[in-house]
Amino acid sequence: MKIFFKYVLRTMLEKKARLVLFLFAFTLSTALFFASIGLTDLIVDSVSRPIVEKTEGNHMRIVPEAGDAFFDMDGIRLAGIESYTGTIVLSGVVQNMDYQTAAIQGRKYDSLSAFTFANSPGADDFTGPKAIVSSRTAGLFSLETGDRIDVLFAGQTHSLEIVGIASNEGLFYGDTNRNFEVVIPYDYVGETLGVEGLYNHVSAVKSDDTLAASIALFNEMNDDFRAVELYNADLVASMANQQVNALMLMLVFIVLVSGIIVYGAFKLIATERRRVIGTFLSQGATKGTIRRILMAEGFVYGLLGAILGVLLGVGILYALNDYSSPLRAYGVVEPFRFDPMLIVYAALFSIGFAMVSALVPVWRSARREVKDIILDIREPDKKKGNLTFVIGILLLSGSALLSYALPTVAIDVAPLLMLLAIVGVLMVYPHVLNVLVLLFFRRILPIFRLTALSVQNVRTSTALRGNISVIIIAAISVVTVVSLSTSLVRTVTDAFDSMRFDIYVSDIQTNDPESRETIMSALRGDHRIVTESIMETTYVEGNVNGEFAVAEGIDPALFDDFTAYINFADDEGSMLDALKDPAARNTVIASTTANRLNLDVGSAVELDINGIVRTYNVTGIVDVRLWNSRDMFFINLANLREDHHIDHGRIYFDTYEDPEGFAGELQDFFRGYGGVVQTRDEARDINIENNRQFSRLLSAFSLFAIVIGSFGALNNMFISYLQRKRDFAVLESLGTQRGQRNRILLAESLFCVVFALLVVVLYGSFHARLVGQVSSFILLPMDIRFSLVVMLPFLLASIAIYALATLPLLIKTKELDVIEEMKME
Amino acid sequence: MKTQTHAENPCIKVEGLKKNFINGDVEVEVLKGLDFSIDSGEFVSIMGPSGSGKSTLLYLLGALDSPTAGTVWMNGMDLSVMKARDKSRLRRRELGFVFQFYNLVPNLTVEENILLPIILDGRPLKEYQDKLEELLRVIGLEDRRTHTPQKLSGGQQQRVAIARALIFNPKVLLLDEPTGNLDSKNSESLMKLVADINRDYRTTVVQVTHSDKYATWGNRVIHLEDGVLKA
Ligand SMILES: Nc1ncnc2c1ncn2[C@@H]1O[C@H](COP(=O)(O)OP(=O)(O)OP(=O)(O)O)[C@@H](O)[C@H]1O
Ligand SMILES: [Mg+2]
Repeated sequence: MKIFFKYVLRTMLEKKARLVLFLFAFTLSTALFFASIGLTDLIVDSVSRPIVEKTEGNHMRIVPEAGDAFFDMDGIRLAGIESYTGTIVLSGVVQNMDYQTAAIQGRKYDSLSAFTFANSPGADDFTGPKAIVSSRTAGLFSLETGDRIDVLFAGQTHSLEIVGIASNEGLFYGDTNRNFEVVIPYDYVGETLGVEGLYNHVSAVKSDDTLAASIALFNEMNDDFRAVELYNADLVASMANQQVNALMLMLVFIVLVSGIIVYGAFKLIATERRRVIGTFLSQGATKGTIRRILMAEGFVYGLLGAILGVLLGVGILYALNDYSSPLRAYGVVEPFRFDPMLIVYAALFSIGFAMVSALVPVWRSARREVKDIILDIREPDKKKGNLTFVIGILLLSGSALLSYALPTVAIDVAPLLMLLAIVGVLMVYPHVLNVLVLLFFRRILPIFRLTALSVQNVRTSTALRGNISVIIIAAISVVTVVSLSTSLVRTVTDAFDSMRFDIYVSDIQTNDPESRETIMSALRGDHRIVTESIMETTYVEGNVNGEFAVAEGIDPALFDDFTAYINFADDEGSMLDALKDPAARNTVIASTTANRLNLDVGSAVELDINGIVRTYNVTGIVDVRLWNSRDMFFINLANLREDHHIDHGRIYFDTYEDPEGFAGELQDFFRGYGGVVQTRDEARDINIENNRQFSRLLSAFSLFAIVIGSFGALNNMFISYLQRKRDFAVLESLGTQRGQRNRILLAESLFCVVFALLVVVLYGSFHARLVGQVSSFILLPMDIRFSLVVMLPFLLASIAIYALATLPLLIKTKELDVIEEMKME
Repeated sequence: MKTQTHAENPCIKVEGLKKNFINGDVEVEVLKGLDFSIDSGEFVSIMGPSGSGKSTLLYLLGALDSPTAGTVWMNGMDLSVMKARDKSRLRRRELGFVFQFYNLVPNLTVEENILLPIILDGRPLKEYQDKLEELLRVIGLEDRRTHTPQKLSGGQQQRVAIARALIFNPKVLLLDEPTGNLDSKNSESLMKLVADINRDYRTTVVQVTHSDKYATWGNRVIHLEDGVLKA
């Protein structure tokens, strides 16, 4: 077998340009595979890391059954928990630090061991008006130990001496200049509030292996306390899922593009080698021998591609890591790492990909006579072509039928539907091209001469047809991303336009009836505010039977009128009418929630919020579109306050003044409560910006698709040129000039692009519909439209890119050794 | 070795052999039912006008193609019921085939091309070293042994192809116009080589030729015209 390996290596090295192109194709697709899988881990990490870090190794929260805000730990039984830490958590404002909101943590000295200090404060230092901040906060506000900060909490301003600067781990991990932690001695906070010996936040470390078992054990053994999860892993995962799903969608495009490139290239090589394969067979080689030889070749390409691809992939991932780090603005980049198994996956991907692509042509010729293979007699493929066309039409019309006639079913299988439709397009267009050329170009052939020759070439050359496929997929991925991101912006704008408010206050940190009353009466008494427009909502996380759930407390009398965005109308008026009586404990739920938790109108749910469980009746299901997290139980605000002791919330209202100036004034008032005041325009822009980061990531991937696509186009053009070198040599020997040859090549590539884009434009509207259904599938439901005007610049840019991709071909092919090429092998 | 009486057990036996090709919508009958047999050790020449189906017939004898109807027996074995694997082994060990257009493997050297059937069979190359030397000398390409086929002339490639067909001492040697691309001197020495092999090893030889002169080197001529045998 040594000689075969030698043969394989010689074959690979025979045409250097092709070797490079091949390696490039494998390297790039492997790198992108590696990077996108790695990126999904990074995204999940970037979402969960700040949450997990903040728990400081704790797993659950302990709340008193009585529901008091402040409570002591008398009578707690250490069952299911190893230890617990009691703190007082408040919000405050640091007056000499731009009036920034801070989270105040009243902590005992022994709990400071969780932090890392350059100079640890001693036990004596940590009593009285002292404070610890993180090194990031210290850096942002130029603080050193010994400096004083003035912090407003519990209605008073306290001048606190900084006695320690901790590194940004654990509690301090997520500190930003808008929100950071200040740790103050417990005794001092307790004294100020008059709650010595009491806590309002107690977290604990589980003792059993599983969290559920620990919680169950604790709750069984304790009558006065209940344990709840500190954070919900499902919630964290679902936050990351959307982005991961969208990334996977882009990965499909990339794999599709590179798959076609690689497969096409191997198929061409196989065609080129058909005579050699036939020769081997005629000398008594079995099909197995041939398979082994080709597999060896595929393996070598795949292995080299894996090595180079992983190296490049690490580089791409490194760059994306920087890009996806949540605290990047503060110079904090997540430590770069990836699962070592990823290398194995990438290698399997590359090698498997290469070996399968190398084998396909052998499978295709499995049942053919040796003579036909060796004489390179083409199978009569007319019938096969028709079959492909028919299957393609079936795929397209099938997916169209499902998409239009059964939209709900279509959403459940949307990504598959989209894939099938694209495959359908790829199967149908060659036939259309054929008919078009035969009907149309035949007639104008004498006028166009060389160009017509190019068009004929495109029709008959598999390589150039592969080109069209590649461009179609790359262009479709661009259409997908552009329509997704424009729709995202439009959807957010529409949502805000359909809400009736001028000013919006969020992030209010206080959670007691008194503060709430103070705020509300101040607003009601302000003559600049339209009193009857003031509306509160509250948004809290909880759970239902162990599944995470979000409750949105609303005022049923006002909410319907407030947002035209959600349509609560039902036969009798509004679904929200059922919520008007808090004693009835009714809830209207989002359709997403209904699907996820398998609930229906009439179901009863045990809603656990703030550790307090109450039973609610589902009286309505509503499509909330993109409202908040799209997944919630609407309940009466009064229920949240009285039953679950949740008082903080968001406030919306109209003003008689200019919203911008007024919002600035109000911000001073709300600072003491941690509230953030935004005008409608600001709120909308922030929302758009948040989504934009995500669409930028998608754009990066569609850029990959274009780059790999244009590279693939060049690759295909090269290969198809190498394939036809002999033909060109014959043309040349008959007197064709180099300029004419270049015109043929250029016309070929332009024709490919123009035809591909034509296909995409024709398919665009249906594709936009499918993207819309995919967006519903990934729980980001949007109404997606295909706009030629929006697409035009992108499509023109692709034409330019592909035209550019031809240039290296023209330069490279300057020299053509006619004798060498025409010589029989 | 089992001796065979010619009449009872011919080396090649062809019965009702038909081959049609489908060209677009028309079916062309190329071989219209041939019956003949060739005894072990015979040297037969097939002659006929261009396009009469000579190559087609040879491919069928060489187990490289399947007939539309009829049977080919090779050493008593019915090719039409043979498994692909067994056909491969047959091609490797018992048949030598020389194509009209050489069909050498481009990236292998002259030596490696000649040894290809041995390599494919997985036999130790050492055992065939003497045979290789002999063949290289006979085809006059001893100094070209490490060249790849691209660097050889048409006639030289033809000779490599013949050496390849002979390396395994096949029972049957099938040649499709072996002298088609050679000058008269080379043609002469090639025919002599084939005749020697036929005589020395009792190898059955079937050659397609256009040359009356070389046809007479054999002991029998089969005339093919319009897909049927002419007496
Ligand atoms: N795969 C094929 N498909 C269609 N027709 C074929 C095929 N192979 C051979 N033919 C036809 O069969 C006939 C016989 O071809 P063949 O090659 O056997 O002729 P030949 O006698 O060897 O001619 P030559 O002396 O020119 O080599 C020809 O008419 C040829 O066109
Ligand atoms: Mg012939």
